[in-house]
Amino acid sequence: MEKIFELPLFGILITLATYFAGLRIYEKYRKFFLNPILLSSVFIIGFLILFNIDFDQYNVGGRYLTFFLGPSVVALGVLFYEKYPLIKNQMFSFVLAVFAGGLMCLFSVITLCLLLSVPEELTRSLAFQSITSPIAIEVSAAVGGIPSLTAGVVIVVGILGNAIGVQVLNLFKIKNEAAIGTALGSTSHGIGTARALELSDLAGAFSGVAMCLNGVFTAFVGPWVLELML
Amino acid sequence: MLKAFLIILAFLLSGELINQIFSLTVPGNILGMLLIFTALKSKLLRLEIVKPVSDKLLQFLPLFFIPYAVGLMQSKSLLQEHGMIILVVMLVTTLFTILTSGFIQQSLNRKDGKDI
Repeated sequence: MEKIFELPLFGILITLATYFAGLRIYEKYRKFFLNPILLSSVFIIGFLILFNIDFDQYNVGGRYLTFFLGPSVVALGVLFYEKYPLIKNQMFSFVLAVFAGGLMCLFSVITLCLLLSVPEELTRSLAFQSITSPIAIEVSAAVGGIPSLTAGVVIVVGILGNAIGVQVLNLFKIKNEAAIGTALGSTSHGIGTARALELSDLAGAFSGVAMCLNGVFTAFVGPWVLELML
Repeated sequence: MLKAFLIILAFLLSGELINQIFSLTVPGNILGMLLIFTALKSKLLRLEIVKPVSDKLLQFLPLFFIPYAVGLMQSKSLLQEHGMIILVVMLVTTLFTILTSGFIQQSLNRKDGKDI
C-alpha cells in the first residue's frame, strides 16, 4: 500500500483532485478564504502529515506540475503582446505604479521589521516577498537572507494577494481593471496574476508584466535599499 | 498544438541559456517571456500559432503553484519560532504595497482620462 505514495501518480493525482474540488467549492460559495490554491495546499499538507509522508515523496509527482510554471511564464509574454496596444497607452502610470509598489514593499517591510526588532536575517529574507520566487530566492541568498524562508514567504504573500487583493482594492475604491491587474502582479507576482486572469484578460496582462518588471526592479534596487536602511 | 508547445519550450530554453551564459539574476523563464514578446512584436512569430497553447497554460496557472505552497511545510521549525511576527509583517506590508500600486495607476489614469 505504501508503494502507491512513491509513484509520481500520487503527487499529481492528489494535487489535481484537491484543486478540482477546491475550484468547485470556490465557485459555489465565492468566499475569498475558500481560495482554491489555499484549500488544495492545506488539504495536501494535512494529508501528508496524517499519513506521515515526506514532502519529497509528494514532490516526486508534484514537480511534474511545477515544471509547467516555466512555459506558463513564457505564455505571459504572448498575453503581453496581445494586450500591448492597451498597455502602451498607459505605460507611464503603469511603470510608476510598479516602481512605487516595489519601493513601498521594501520600505514597509524593513521599517516594520525594525520596529518589531525582528532578527536581521529574517528582515533580509522578508524584503523580497513581493517578487517572483526564482528571482526572490537568488537575491535573498545574495544579501544574506534565508532562501528557503524567502521561498515560503513569497508563496504566502502570493496566496494572500490572490485571496484578498481584489476585495481590499475595491474597498478603497480602486476599480480600474488595469490598476487592479498591476497591483496584483507587483504585489503577489504569479499567484496574484492567476487571480487577475480570472478577472479579465486585460487585468491578467497588466499583472503578468507588472510581475516581470517588479522582479527586475526589486532585484536591482532591493539590495541597495537594505544596505541603506539596516 | 504540438508545434505551439514546442515553440514555447524553445523560447524557455533560449531564456535559460542566456541566463546561464551571462549568469544573470533575472531567471530564464522571464527572459523567455521577453524573447517571445520581441519575436511576436517583430513579426518573426505569428500570434495564432502560439495562442491556443499559451491560453491553456494560463488557464491552469494556479494549479502549477500548489506543489510550491505544499513545500511550506518544510520550513516548519522557523515558522514555529517566528511565524506570528512574519505573518503580521506580511499582512500589513502586502496591504500597503497593493494599495500604493493600485492607487497610483488608477489616479494617474483618471488624470489622463484613460478610465478603462
